[in-house]
Amino acid sequence: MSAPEVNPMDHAAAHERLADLALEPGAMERLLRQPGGTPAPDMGPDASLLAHLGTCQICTAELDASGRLDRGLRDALSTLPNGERLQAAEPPAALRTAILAAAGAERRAATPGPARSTDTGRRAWPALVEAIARPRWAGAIAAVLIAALLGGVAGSRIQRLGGEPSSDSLVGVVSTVERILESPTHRVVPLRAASGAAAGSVAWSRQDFAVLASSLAPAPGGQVYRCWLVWAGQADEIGEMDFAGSTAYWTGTAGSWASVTFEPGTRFEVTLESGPQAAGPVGPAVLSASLDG
Amino acid sequence: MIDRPDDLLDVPDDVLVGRIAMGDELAFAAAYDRHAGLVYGSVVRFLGDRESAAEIVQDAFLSLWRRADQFDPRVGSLSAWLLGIARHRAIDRFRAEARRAASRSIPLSALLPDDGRSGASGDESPAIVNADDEAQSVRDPAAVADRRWVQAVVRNVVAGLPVAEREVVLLAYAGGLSQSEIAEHLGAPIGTVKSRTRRALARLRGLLGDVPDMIEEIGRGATLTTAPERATRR
Repeated sequence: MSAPEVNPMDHAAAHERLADLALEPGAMERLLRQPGGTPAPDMGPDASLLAHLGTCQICTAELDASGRLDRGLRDALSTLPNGERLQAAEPPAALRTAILAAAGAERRAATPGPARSTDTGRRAWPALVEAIARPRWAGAIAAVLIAALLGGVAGSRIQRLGGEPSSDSLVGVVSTVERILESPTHRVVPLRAASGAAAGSVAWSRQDFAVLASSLAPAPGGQVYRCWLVWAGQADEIGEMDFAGSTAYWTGTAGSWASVTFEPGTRFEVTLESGPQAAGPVGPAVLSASLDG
Repeated sequence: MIDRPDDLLDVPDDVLVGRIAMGDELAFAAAYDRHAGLVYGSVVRFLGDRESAAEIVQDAFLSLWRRADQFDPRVGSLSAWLLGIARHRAIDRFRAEARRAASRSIPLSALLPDDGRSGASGDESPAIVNADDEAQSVRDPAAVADRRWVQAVVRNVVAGLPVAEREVVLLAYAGGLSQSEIAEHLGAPIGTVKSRTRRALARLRGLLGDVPDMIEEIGRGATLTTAPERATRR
């Protein structure tokens, strides 16, 4: 006995019916299980849809794509723990800073220049990103304020990398960071904006110190961002933040007779200053990091 | 004048990549801002590890920076290109971790989350597979890893939907509710629920269809095991 004759749906009605089926998980699959274009006698209203599908490539493609999406969603979501509400997972701000700085440094390193090789940037920045992403700062820093050879405060031991031409400045940062990361005792801590939001990172070894910030807008005219080491109620200026594109940075290296070490409770801070240099910060702190956290 | 990544918001990906190939850092920043969330979120969900995800995102984007001239938009989208690199790295790590776990004589079941009953928390839980996956992993570990990857990407894309759309999708696909049941649950008109669901599905098709083979993989992955039917979940 042959199946009863079924009149195919017209295209618009079929399209609308497919859209309705797409709203119910599994409905597409149940339809797809039917032999396309040969509706069973008991298919009810979808018999005419299947009859249309047997003649319409557009609707067949639509059914196919919707069906696959439906199965994919069921496969991915039906196994979620009860009550799971998916939340977006945003990459950390420091990652953006490091990757963009790495790209910029590679480009500058690839530009012919004195005493720089492309290898420097290519090796250093992936390592930096790795270091920034890896919370090696979890252990407290058992540090002692600077080795006593030269006396004085920590800040005075960190000599600003001088003489770097600005076009090469990020390559200088790369070199510094590479040295830091090669040190088995290096540390990386998060840098935070006044709001508490992640804003970059501070990394150091016994010889070098590097700060990278992603969220600092260029200082308004006549103002500068000053960097401070703050502990036990006193603050020492160690320099000013520089910019390379949207990345703000500061690097320093200890002299051959000194080392970069910090007392417990030491903080790194960046303040926005408009006046002449003072004994301590006057303007608001815009960035800070705990160097023993 | 273009001096911020935001100035490139409307620039198509293929144009961005062309500029990146010329060493344009702003274009690179714009590409990062556009696609890093997709790559990072997918890897976090796949591996359940933010540190590894950051490293893989780094690899993917620095690959783009170094090899932008090799990108061919006729072959696939930029998001697919980046996800392809990330998938390769992530699955390598997943397998390495599985080997380490095996060498420590830890049952694979300890590495592969169960079907959701474990109470794995939050959005960072690795892609969760059905109980059948352990047996499947013995037969075809590559297929299991592929499936986990697709699940992770899909979950990440769903997580990025507007709240109202994500809600109806989760109620339908995770909660097993019909459109009318969702309407009742939310106290919203059925027409509103349907239009939200339609918008969500259209958006998902746009986002996932942007990834070559993604839809195909979704279909293929879903055939590995049979997802619980709605009727059995209620």
